[in-house]
Amino acid sequence: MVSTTADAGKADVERQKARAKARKRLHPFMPAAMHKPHIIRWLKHFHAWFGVAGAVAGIIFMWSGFVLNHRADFRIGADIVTTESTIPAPDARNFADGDAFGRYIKDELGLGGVPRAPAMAGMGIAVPGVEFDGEPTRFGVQFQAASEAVSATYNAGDASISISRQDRPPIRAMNRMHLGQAPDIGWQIIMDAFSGALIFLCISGVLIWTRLDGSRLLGAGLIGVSSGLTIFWIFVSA
Amino acid sequence: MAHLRPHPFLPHAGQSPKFLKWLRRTHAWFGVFGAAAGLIFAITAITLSHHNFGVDTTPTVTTSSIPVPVGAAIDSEESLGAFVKEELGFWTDWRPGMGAGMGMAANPDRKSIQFRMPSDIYAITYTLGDPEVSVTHTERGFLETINRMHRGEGVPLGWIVLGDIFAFSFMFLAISGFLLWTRAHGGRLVALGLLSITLIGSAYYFTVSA
Repeated sequence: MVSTTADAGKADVERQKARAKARKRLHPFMPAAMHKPHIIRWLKHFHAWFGVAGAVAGIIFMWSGFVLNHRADFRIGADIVTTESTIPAPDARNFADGDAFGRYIKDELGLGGVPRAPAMAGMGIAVPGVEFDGEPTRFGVQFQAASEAVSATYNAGDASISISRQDRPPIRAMNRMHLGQAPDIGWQIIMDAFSGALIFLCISGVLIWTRLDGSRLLGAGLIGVSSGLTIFWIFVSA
Repeated sequence: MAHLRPHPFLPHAGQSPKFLKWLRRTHAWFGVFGAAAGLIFAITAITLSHHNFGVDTTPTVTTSSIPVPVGAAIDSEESLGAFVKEELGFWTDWRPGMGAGMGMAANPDRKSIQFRMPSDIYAITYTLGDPEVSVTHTERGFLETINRMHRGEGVPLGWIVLGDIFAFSFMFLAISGFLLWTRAHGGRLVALGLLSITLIGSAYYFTVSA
C-alpha cells in the first residue's frame, strides 16, 4: 500500500515535469520563470488587443515608410496644387482681432478645422490665439490637414481677403502624417500609442512564438539575421 | 449556435482549418523576422517625435589629414575615393561631396567626396598635387545614429532593403493579425472600436482638420 502511494506520488511528479517540459517546448523563446499558463494567456490577450488597435496605423506607417524609404529613388506622387483666390471683406473692412478674422474665414469658406496661427505670426500680424498689442491692421490665419492647407491674409481697409489653398496628393499627405506634421497633439498621441504598442507586440510576439510554427533554430536565426545586420549597420559599418 | 465563429473578422470562405493554419504560421514567421526591426523603428519613432527628449545630439566634428605618398596617382574623384577607402579601411563606397556643383567647378583641381554611414560622415577634400588629403569627420552618438537609420539617412542599400521587407511584412502582419483575431480575446465591437480610433483619427487629420 505504502509503496503504491509513493509510486503514484512519484508518477505525479514525473507527469508534472513532463508537462512543464512540453509547455516549455511549446514556446521556446519564453524564459522558464515566465512559463506559466496565466502569463501566456495574458500575453496572448494583450498581443491581440494591441495588434487590433494598431492595425490601421500599421498599414499607414508601413506604406508611407516604404515610399519615404525611396524618396531619393522615385518621385513621390503628383505635385502639390496651389490655388490663389480672394473673397470679399466684410463691410466694416476690419476685424477686432486675429480670432475674429479666423472665425470669419472658417465660416465663409465652410472649413471644418481649427483656425491656427501661420508661421509669419509675430511680425505685426494679428493671428488667432496670440495676444496682439495695439490696433491690428494686418491679419493672418491658416487651416492645416495632411491633405490640404488653407491660409488667408488681409490688410485692414482692403475690399478683398487673399486666400491660398494647397491640395496635397494622398501619398504626400500620408508622408506628412508619417513625419508627424499634423497640426495638433491628437495625432502625436496616436503615434506614441502605436510606437509603444509596437514595442510590446515585438516582444510579446517573440515570447509567445510557438515551436508549432517551425524549429526554434530557424526562428532564432531569423531574429538573429535582422538584429545582427542592424547592430552591424549601427556600430560597424564605418 | 454552431455559428459562433472564433475568428469574427475572417470571411466565411477563409474559415477552413487549412487556411487558418497557413495564416497563423505565416503571421508567426513574418513576426519573428520583423521583431528586431520593429523594436528599432518603434523606439526611434518615439525619440524622433519627442525631439530626443531634450538630449543634446550635436555631433562632434574633427578635422585631420592623410599624407599622400609621393607618386600616388590621385587625379579624379574615383582615385581619391579608392585612396581614402584604402587608407581609412572603410566598408562603404564614396559618394559625391556635399559641395559638389556649388563653386567647386571654379577650381577643377579641387576634388570633394564623402563617405556616409548612419553614425559618421567623412567629408574629404583634396586639391590635385597637394601633399595631403583633408578629412572632416562628423561623428554622432548612438541615439542620433538610430534616429538616422529610422530616417534612412546615410544608410547602406542593405538597410533600405531590410526596411522595405519589414514594411511589407508588417502590412501583412496587420491584415493577417486582424483576420486571426479571435472572439476569445473579447467582444468584436470593442475590437472594432479600438481599431476605429486610428481609423477616425487618421481620417480627421488627413482631411477634415483644415
